[in-house]
Amino acid sequence: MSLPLENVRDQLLRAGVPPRFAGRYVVELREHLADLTERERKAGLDAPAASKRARELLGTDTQLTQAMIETAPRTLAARAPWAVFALLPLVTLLAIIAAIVASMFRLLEPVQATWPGGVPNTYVGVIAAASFFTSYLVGPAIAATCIFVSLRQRLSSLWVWIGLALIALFSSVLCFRMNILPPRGAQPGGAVFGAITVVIVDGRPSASATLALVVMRAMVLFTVAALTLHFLRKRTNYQRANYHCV
Amino acid sequence: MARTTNPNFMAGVPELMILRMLQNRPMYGYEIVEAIRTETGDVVSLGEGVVYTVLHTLEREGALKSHRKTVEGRSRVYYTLTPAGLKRYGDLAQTWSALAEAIRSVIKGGRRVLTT
Repeated sequence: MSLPLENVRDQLLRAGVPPRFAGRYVVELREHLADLTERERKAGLDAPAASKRARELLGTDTQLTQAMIETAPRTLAARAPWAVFALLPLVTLLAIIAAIVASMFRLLEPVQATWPGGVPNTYVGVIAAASFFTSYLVGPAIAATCIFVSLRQRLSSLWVWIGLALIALFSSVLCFRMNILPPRGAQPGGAVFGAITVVIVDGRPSASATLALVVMRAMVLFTVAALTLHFLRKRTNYQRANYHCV
Repeated sequence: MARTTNPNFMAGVPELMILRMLQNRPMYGYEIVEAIRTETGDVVSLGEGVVYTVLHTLEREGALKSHRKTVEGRSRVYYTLTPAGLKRYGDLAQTWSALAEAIRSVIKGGRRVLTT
């Protein structure tokens, strides 16, 4: 059995009331309901009648929801879903990748000339970690945050889907990349830093292989994110349907 | 059935009443509604749930502060008047007193013009 007034919280979240406001309002209403029930019981009603009377005195779900909607502020996600689910994730992704590429450049560029015998193991580990983080963790983490926000605020905007698609695409294209070039004849070796996924085939960048990899990674990430969102939404809807049954 | 209120005359009244009640001591929502009912002889009765929207708005605007406190095993949110809330109450009370006086005067048959 779910807690009372859960439907009020749900309606408030759907209307764009910040979760913190909706949560506190419902908690205080529950406490008020408990006080009213106690008062009615003291007035002589039996437990079910006291509960029913207290609930009536508190106001209907519509009255309680409407009163809060009229006075509470709206979340940015409700007012501008395009900013929260599309623009902000892309800016965050770009900022993270740019910060990692810049810091790796500052760390590795001064020392790379001192690697005549190959990259030391410590640096190989750092490069691999940065590359793995930007290739496989940043995108899913941002997508998970968007899913969390949309579920928490019960938002069903199309911008959530558009945002997930953009995150999947851009996080597949952007990543930290560093290629170590060995010395060739009189030409000294060096390192090339990059922020775009490039697949090297036979020592040369391959556009078709890069495109195939990017598309595949984007599709995998989007599919996983979309299925997660769909499953969790269904689960939330199921729980909501149960509130009405109690 | 929910308690009936008279919304047409209630604009601003909940705020005034709440600020007045909190002048005496910190209170929680249910306590405020009960106190208003008792003090006004049941003439003014706020919608039980509506009181929280007014309390939250006043808190956001800096007129009230809230804190959680456990009393007799029950955790409750207590509201306290801030200096800004006290000033707001003073302004509101003045406005309402003037309005009430003007209405009373109209009901009794028009404003008396005092001459010397």
